[in-house]
Order: sequence, then structure tokens, then C-alpha cells
Amino acid sequence: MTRRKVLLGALLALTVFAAAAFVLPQPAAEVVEAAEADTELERRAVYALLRVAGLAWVTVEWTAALILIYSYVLLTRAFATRAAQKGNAP
Amino acid sequence: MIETIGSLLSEDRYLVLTRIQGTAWTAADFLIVVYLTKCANLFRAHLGKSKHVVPYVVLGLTAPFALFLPVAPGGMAFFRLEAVVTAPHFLLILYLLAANANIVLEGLHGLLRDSSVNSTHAS
Repeated sequence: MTRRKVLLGALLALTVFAAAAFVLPQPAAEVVEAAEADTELERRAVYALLRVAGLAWVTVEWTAALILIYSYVLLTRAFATRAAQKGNAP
Repeated sequence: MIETIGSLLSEDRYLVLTRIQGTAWTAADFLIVVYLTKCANLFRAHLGKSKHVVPYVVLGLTAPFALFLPVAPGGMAFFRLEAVVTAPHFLLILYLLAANANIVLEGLHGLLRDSSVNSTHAS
């Protein structure tokens, strides 16, 4: 797959997502508001569970970030060692 | 139990927790994209290919929106800010993975081959 096709596909997906993000929440919010009065406490309990899930997601993301940072450090050392060995080669 | 949990979490508290978590995972997103780009550029430089610059440009464009996440006025504003910031980041991650998979495999193959040749010479 060429780089240009991947970039165009990503831009198209971004445009569709951005349009959906600004159009979809309004009808969804109206449905939630209609159900709100009867299920206030239950809704808050669901929100609490969502925040627990958010905590798990934050953990996953930071773990991935730290793994990537460590990988970058290891790769930098590996390429530097390789360059040094090639420089020392007879 | 549900009523107990529900009574402890007011809308204001929920919004504060959402802002904190959203800021935390967005900061991790930035680091993921930066270091994924740096790793890809290491392999690309090693193989004589041009380095990625677009990810840094996109990060620069989304950073101002991310700064408003901790002070988003409400749930809908927070969601829209998150959409503007997070969607380009995830698309960038997909793009970097798709565009560099072969290059990374080729680079790793070269690194492993050279390290096995060097260990053979050393022994």
C-alpha cells in the first residue's frame, strides 16, 4: 500500500469521524435526557463504572507509552552499536 | 449498592474526574505518537528513507485543543475537544503502523543479522 493512499484514507476517515462527532452526540444526548428523570441514581452508577473503565484505559495508555519510550532507547543504542561496529570493521 | 454508588457521584464530581482522566490519556497519546514517530524515523534513516514530519505537524495542531481539556465547561464540550484531539492521533498511529511495517521488519532483520554475524566473529 503506498504512503499516499494510506494518507488519503486516513484523511477521509478523519473527515467522516469529525463530521459524525459533531452531528451524532446531539440526538444521543436528547435520548439520554428523556430517560434521565426516572433513573438518576442508576445513571450516576453507570457513570461511576465508566470512570473506573477510564482508569483502566489511562493505565493501558501510559503502559504503552512507557514501553514505546523504552523501545526507542533500546533501538537508539542498537543502531549506535551497529554503526560503531561497522566503523571498527577492517 | 447501585443507589449508594450513584449517590456518591454528583455531576460536578463526574466532570472533574472525566477532565483528569481525559487529560491523562491525552498526554499518553501525545507520547505514544511522538515515540512511535521517532522509532519509525530511526528505521527509515537507517534504510536511507525520508523521515516522517507530518505527525509532528499534526501534534502541533492538536496541542492547543488539548490544553483546554482540563478546563472544558461541560460534557459535550469535553467530548468534542477529545474528538478533535484523539481522532487525529489514532489515525496517525494507524498510518505510522501501516506505512512502516515493512521498513521496521527490514530494519530489525538487518539488526539481528548483523548482531549474529558479530557474535559469530567474536566466538
